[in-house]
Amino acid sequence: MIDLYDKKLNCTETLRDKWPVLIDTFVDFYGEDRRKEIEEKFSKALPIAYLSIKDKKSYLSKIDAEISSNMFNAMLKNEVSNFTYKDLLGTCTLKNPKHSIIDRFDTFYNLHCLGAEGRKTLYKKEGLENIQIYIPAFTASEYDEMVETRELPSKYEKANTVLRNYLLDCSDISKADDTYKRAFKLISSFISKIDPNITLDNFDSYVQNNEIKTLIKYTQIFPALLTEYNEIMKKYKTIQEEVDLAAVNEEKYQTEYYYKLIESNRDLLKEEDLKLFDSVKGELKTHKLNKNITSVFGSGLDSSAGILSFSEENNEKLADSDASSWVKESITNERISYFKARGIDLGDKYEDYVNSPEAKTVWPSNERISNFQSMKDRLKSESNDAFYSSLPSYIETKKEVDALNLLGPTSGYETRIFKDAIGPTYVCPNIVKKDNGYELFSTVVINSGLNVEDGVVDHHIIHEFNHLFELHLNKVDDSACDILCGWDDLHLKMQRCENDENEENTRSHELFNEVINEIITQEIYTKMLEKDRHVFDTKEYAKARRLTSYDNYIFLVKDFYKEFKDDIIASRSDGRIDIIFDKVGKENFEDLNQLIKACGQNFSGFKYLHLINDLRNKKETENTKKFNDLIQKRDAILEKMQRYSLEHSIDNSKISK
Amino acid sequence: MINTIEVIIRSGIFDSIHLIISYPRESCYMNNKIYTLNDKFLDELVRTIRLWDNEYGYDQMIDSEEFKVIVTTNEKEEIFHGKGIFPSNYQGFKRLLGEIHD
Repeated sequence: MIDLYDKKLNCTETLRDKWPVLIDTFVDFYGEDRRKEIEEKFSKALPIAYLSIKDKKSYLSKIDAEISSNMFNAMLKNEVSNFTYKDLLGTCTLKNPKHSIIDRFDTFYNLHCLGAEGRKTLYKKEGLENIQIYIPAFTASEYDEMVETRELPSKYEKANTVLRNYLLDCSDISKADDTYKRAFKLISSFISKIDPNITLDNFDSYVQNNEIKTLIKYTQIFPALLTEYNEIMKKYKTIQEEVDLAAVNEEKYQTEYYYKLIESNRDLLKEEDLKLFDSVKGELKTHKLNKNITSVFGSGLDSSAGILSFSEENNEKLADSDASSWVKESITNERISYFKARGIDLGDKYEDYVNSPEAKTVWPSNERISNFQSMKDRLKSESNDAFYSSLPSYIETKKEVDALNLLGPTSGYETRIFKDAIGPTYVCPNIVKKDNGYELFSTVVINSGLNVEDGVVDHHIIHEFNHLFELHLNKVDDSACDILCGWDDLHLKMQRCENDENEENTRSHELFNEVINEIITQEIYTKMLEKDRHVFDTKEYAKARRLTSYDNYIFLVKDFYKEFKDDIIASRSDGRIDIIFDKVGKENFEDLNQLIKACGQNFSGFKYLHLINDLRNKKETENTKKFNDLIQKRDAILEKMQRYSLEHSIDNSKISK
Repeated sequence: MINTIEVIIRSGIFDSIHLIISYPRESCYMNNKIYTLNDKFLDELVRTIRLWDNEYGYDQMIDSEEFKVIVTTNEKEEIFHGKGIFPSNYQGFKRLLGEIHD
């Protein structure tokens, strides 16, 4: 599996290296005559495969576990013994074998070999070194004298008690064997399994015991094994550093900027809460902050801040007779918590606060609320910038994307993909300016972090690349362009305008388009598997069915696809939706489109699971009625399409005669 | 009073979060597992979504992330939706959902 994990950790390179495989796979499906077209379409895209920080961490840990196990087991295999990896390394790996039995036995046996005198010498050496960490000028003769006399050198007699005790402790060689005894205690339960009679005092007589002999041999080989392991792991150093840095930085920046928000609004806290804040603000963790502080500021920059519950938007909701009671209740509860945090507790009735002159004294002004909101937004954005600019892999790809000079409103390479638990996979169509006009150029963003065992990443890649192949630039000017992706109409503005948001959905065939794209994907991917071609997934786990959310709709279009496959594919890959309109009738096509939309509305989320459950249990419910209705309509539409197609072909043949 | 909150997030081409919270039991069912939630979590969730618009619209990407939150009370069902276009505190919302674990 290490090869597979390596591919995932170097996912963008892997994806780009497999370019020829993807092209050959698409040529197998669409035909050799379309090779040039496929190559050209794919060349007008920047493929970006990514792993979230969490996924990188997980793959590094899998690699560590597998390499450790392979190397350690190879070492065990070379010696005749009954010891297993679990016996000697337990849950540790070679990355950090501290506290494992082999490490503890090694420590003990080294001390044992030193003998009593040797352990004293070691204790003295380490004692002096430990003192010199704090007092570099402390000399060896001062130390020897202190060991002899058990008295502090005169110049340290007036030092504080902690230092005096530390110096005496480091020079007390009667404790030289304490470490040795502790080392034995840590392995005693393991050693007693070899022979319950082994003690620290009689250990010497067991050195010739076969199992002890093997253990000793292992400890002699172990350092070389660790060196070899560290050498192998060097190739993951950069990724490991990024993961370590991200783990620290994410929390660090979030806390740092959250504290800045509190610091700039200290007057919102009571004196005792301020004292608490001042005492913890140097720490990275925010859990020590009390409820009063979090009620005013929220528990972090992403969380809801009590003071903002007084905003105009919240006032409007409270005054709106149509607003839901849960919304109003949430606002008033948050405000009550805010008043309590500011030291005004009039109980749990919101009206009592509204009518209280005392509560008015802490009621935030609109200006204050607006300033607070702006500051919070600014700090959130600064915290995000600080975090992402510390991630080398993000910066590297960002540079590559920026160099493309894409003209669309977004490059598609978004920061959130690094933080999401399950990041998205998508195509972001875009436009670039060339000497002879505008050209399509897209980014294809692939989440390659999904479980190896799920075997889904290659399938997702084919799904997105088929979208790429079906992209057509229909119309373009300096301000916008129309793109057709299969049957899906996209309208791209060159720059994002304020009023772009909340636009009506103009992509009327989007879901239909996706479902057909998924069927085509399954066919292409099946061919890819037949040829034993892979990008990320292995033969063992790769699957071609039931891998996307669009699978739930396939039952509506399966027969339609089967019946009109050639025209469907021609219309999509040629960017001519009229081909399929002419074949099955535009009205019938739109009826099927509406049916898919209705299915999406009726059976999204848990409703779909309820439906499956009802169908399995052969229950007659509202859900099954709707489902049966969909099936009937689907069959009726298909019949109409077949009739239309037949009549149309008869008409055409008459015309041609 | 809220009866249920359902959250469906489609990350590109696959369902990434499928969550339903039933009140007043205050446990939730997410991606085939049951979790217990505390009042603090539920308060924060409601605070996060209470000012959301019902529709955020659609972007012009292919397979972009889509969210749907359905809040059901005795009186009505409210739906909040967006595809590729999200409320300003959406990352906070996702972070909050990320707190649900074993």
